[in-house]
Amino acid sequence: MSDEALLTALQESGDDAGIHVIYRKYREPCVRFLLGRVIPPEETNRHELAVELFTESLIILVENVRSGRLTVLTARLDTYLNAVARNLYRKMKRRKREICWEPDELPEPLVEPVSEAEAEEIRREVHQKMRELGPRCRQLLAYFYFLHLDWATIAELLGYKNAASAKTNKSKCMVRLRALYGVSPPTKSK
Amino acid sequence: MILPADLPDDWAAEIEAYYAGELSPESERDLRDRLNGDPALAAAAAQHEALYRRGLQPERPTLVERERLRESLRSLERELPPVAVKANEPPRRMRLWLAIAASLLLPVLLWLFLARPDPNAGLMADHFFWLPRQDALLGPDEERDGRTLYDVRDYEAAYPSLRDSVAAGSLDSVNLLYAGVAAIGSGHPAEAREMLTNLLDTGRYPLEEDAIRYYLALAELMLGQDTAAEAQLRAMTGQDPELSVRADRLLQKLREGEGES
Repeated sequence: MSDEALLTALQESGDDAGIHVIYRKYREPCVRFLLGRVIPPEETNRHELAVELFTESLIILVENVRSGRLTVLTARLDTYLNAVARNLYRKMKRRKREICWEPDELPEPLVEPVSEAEAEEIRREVHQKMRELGPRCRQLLAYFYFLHLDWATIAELLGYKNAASAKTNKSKCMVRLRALYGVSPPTKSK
Repeated sequence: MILPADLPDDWAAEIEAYYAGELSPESERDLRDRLNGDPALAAAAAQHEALYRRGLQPERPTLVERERLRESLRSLERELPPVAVKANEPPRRMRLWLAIAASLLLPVLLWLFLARPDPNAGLMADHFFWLPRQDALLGPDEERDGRTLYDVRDYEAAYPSLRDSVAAGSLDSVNLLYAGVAAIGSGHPAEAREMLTNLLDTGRYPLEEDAIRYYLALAELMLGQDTAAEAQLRAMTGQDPELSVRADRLLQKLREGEGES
């Protein structure tokens, strides 16, 4: 089954069958990639860690496909899985603590947060508005915020010249997203 | 009443930087002070913050589903045989290759030693390794070409095949990396240097930059350009932990060599 067909199966099926197909297909090459290129030989339990990183990268990919944030593949499916897994490993090393696959803790709010109901409404609206962004912006934001890819990987996947260029474009996409959901018009403070 | 839309762009950019972890403590304090001093803008900022705190976060039911899926995949994993770590993966592969290389090269090295050998030959033998190709091992239906020759380490045949396929446009230019490795492995450092330098100059493969520089360093060493080799190793970004360890060891060896000479 091709990667495109697998992506379609994931989008259209709510069960785990398609996910298991991908798991079986890419488990071995991804684990080999991680053992060969990412996890250094000194790491303890590196084989178990590689399997866990692959599992988590697949879960992240599935979530993004099913939520509609990732609709088009610009590279092979294993390229995404390898890149997400590699980034998860880097993040784990940066945290210098036990493995934690849940989202990063957010920093303290700058001001009194909006109500829970309003926040949920904003979340729903943002997810809706992301679909109205052009495909390139949607991919860029999804890769950064939901797949948690680093800038070098995003630049490579989306064909930007370098990481800095990808980052600059992300800021432009955020301006468009904010405009779409009505937070900020193009004004400048004095 | 001030609407969320009244939040100025540069304030929004500061909030974006804050959530990206890129705002200095001083700038953060300044931003907080400004927001505290303007309740209307603070209200607009609260809505803007919600974009980062909720809008760009997975929805809560996802976390429950994530745990369920994790369990489902762990169950599947228990049913599958362990991923075979074949001899062509670095730790075991390196040991195997070093053992084979040592047994095969021992007479040659002895001869070279007696004939005042190139001091970098030993470094090369110790630091050259087969770079796993990212798309390798994907199954029997893979097209047989320079890539598969590379995968089975037929360097002498792989290097011109990969080079020519890239030149003809039938393979992506990233394969120049493997062509370079194969060229080094088959004793063609000048060709390796040219291909790897061209690849590096494209700037298209930031993820492979460390690998390109590492093998460029090996090619420079083979050509007796120790200073250029050191420069490549020092320019590595450190994004690949395994290559960083290898580069550090090679740099250490080069420094020891300098000390001795």
